[in-house]
Amino acid sequence: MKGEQHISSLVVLHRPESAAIVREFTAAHDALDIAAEGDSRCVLLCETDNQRAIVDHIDALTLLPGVINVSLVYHHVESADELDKPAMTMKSHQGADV
Amino acid sequence: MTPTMTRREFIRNTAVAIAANVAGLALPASATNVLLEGDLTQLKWSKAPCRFCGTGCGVNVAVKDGRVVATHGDVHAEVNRGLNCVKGYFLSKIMYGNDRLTQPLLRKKDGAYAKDGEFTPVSWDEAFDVMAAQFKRVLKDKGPGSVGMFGSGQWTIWEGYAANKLFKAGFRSNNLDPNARHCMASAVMGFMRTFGMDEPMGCYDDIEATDAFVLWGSNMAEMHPILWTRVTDRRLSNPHVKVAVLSTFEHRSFELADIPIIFTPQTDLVILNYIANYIIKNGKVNKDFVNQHTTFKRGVTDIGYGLRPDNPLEMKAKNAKDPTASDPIDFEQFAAFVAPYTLEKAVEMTGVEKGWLEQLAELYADPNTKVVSFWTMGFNQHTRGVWANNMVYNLHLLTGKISMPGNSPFSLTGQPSACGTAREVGTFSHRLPADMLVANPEHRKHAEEIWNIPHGIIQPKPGFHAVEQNRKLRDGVLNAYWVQVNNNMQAGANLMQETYPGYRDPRNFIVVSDAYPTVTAQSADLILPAAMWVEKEGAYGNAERRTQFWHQLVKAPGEAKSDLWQLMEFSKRFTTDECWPADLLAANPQYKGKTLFEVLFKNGKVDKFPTSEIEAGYDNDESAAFGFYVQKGLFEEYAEFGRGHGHDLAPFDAYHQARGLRWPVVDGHETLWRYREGTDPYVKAGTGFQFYGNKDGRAVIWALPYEPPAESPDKEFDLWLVTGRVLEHWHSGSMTMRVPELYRAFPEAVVFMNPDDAKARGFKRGDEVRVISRRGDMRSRIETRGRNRMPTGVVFVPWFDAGQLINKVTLDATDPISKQTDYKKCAVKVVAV
Repeated sequence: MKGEQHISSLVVLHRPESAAIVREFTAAHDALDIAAEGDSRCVLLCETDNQRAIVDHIDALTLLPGVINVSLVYHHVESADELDKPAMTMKSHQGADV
Repeated sequence: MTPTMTRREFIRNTAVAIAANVAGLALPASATNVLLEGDLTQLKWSKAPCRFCGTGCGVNVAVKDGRVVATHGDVHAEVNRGLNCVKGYFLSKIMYGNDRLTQPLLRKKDGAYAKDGEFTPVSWDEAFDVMAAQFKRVLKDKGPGSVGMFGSGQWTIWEGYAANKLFKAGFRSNNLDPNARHCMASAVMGFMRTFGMDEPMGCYDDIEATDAFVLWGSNMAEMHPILWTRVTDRRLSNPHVKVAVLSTFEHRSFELADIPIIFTPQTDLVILNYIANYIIKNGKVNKDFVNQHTTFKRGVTDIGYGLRPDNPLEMKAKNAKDPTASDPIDFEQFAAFVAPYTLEKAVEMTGVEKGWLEQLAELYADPNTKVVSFWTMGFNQHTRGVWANNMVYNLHLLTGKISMPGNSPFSLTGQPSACGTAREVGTFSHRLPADMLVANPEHRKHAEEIWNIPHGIIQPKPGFHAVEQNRKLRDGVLNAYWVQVNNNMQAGANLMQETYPGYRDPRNFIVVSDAYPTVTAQSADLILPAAMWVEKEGAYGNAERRTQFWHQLVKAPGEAKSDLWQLMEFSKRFTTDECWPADLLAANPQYKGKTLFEVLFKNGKVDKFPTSEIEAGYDNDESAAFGFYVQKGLFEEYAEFGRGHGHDLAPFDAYHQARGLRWPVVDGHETLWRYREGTDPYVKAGTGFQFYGNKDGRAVIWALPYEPPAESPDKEFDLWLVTGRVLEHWHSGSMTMRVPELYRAFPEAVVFMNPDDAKARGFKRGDEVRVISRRGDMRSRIETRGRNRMPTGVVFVPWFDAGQLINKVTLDATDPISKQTDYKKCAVKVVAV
């Protein structure tokens, strides 16, 4: 796919004292955003233009001191052009229009 | 959702919402609209268990235009709750390697089969004609003892069951063994000797209920990453929880260790007896539990190393002939037996600091600490692997820490259906379904009744086990041999002296069914292209007794066919007159002249369910080929073995709905903790616990000593060699090496070595070296950094790389009781190239 864009989310488990290290790393990488945080875990959003970059980010995160585990939860790929279009109306889990 | 939202924002919100849900975190306000994007992308999502390890994660599989395009962790699966490891994430790619096999290949010369011919594409008809002629020649000349099969813990349940019937009943050969022999046999024999019944009493729910985890020879961080996530979560969310990690070198699981222990190879046996002694000496024995629910036995010692009988080590061993013998003893005798295993002796033999040993022992001894013990290949691939299994049960039984939430000795599994297929279906050379044995006349009779075949068909003598099969091929005793779903040329120990010469011996005809041209396939005479994973309807059983089903979601490429189709179709080419003795047929004339297909599969039971019962919207190529719902018929016949005997399986259709069910499933309810009143329907009221696998309802505490390994480093071969896996590659790499992202993450095997050992030998990181043992050598490169940190004197080499076959070097020493190979200990030297 040309001009592909990958949107994925990661769950990172870390020692509580390592939260700052994960935050710093995330701040230093444009592809990563912290989306939710707990004492010893956080959800990172990862947006890249190729699939290998996701694995590279996972590897780098795993090597941070105090990071115990990184899991990829969600992954979506399509062209950047499509992603910039307005989202269409869709059905929710409950079947209601949103 | 606001009208101005772009797809990017929408998908980012969805990604965050799902991950936050999985992690148990509150959602940021922006991501509260959780949406299903299935409508949008026209993907058809179905459930399936992962293809790789024994954890049994549930994945959702997306199909578009007949091709699997995506997988993600199934949020409804209890095992992984929406998480996925890196291998699971790339599952969608394993079926689409460029070198996928799509037609049968036969070695031919001048238009006919020749052992020294070139691989030539042939039709299925020609492939089976040649193969049947070879099997018939061997059956006629030498009898059923010279045909055999090597199967797998990656077989689906019905594939293993069909193979069991075809070989043990059809060909009357017990020479059927699974590759699970290499990974789980010691665990199986450990269960049988202690509890009289296979498989764990607890389940993964123990993880969230325990106070302490002890890893005995298991690198869960890399090998069972999803379970490790659950362990990590438990530890980090509950500061009182402790994690002890034991190994012969430091690996990634040590990052979470509160009690890190590196011990000298083989001395785990010393630590186990030291802890038993500590529990007794400190008055921490749970006397009520021990008095009511256990007995004591002393096993024979000096049992050899499962090498060839003419090996000097075997000639010398006093009890090599009957390694399982034992005497009953009492608690006082057991206490006296472990008394010499003092803290001082343990420190001296293991090389571990005494503080760590005491802390570890206290986890087990403290009645207020619930303990889960985990182990995998560190225990099982061990020349005293059965003992190690028995000895860890000792600790849980002495303290009564068993069969209740959070107290659980738990044997982890390597393959996706080592439990469900290899063990429960009984595809071992000595077994029948539901823990029954070929050597037991009652068990044979029962199996023959369920199978609707004459009494006397199943042979009483156990067949050749995995390592013995290689030896018998090499000796020209086993001559017609079929291998399915495994890569034993790469996986089997000592390949130069044992495995390869047997495959290429002109007396032997070797068939390999696989999806890819593995080194094993390339060593064969006939290669049969196999359908894999969701190209067929399947069922696996994971490590916590959970049976899981999936539907066929896509077609196999070219002429590739499932192992199930291959087994059943091949059975059509044999008649009972060619395989069964004349006197049995004379006494049972209704079987005369029938094909094996007719007596084994079109027997009024397996063919009972019409194809109309297949769930709408899913293909089923085997059922279409044979004209009945093959998988359902095989499963329902197989389930007869266990129902009412503690192995109860639910009705077939229930598994297509549920995210797996843990047996025994009685009255629609699965069983989470076996052997305890209130959680196991088989335990009688008022008993508290019943270990009903043993006739007296008691578990056995075993008095077993430390004994040295088969080979230890000496002056010339001065290093311990340990082999194992890495996160990115599973099995022999036959699937993961075909996923570019995984290949790139860890492209080639390396020799992990301590920097001081490297320096002393004049090596730098990245230097090319030869690893040499008394049996063979291989080339690799030195790695002194990275995920594994070696103590001095020990090197580690992963075994996934077909370009660097470490099993040219390893020793084929096995546990004499389980016949499982010890891949964790032999002596090598490492020299510059």
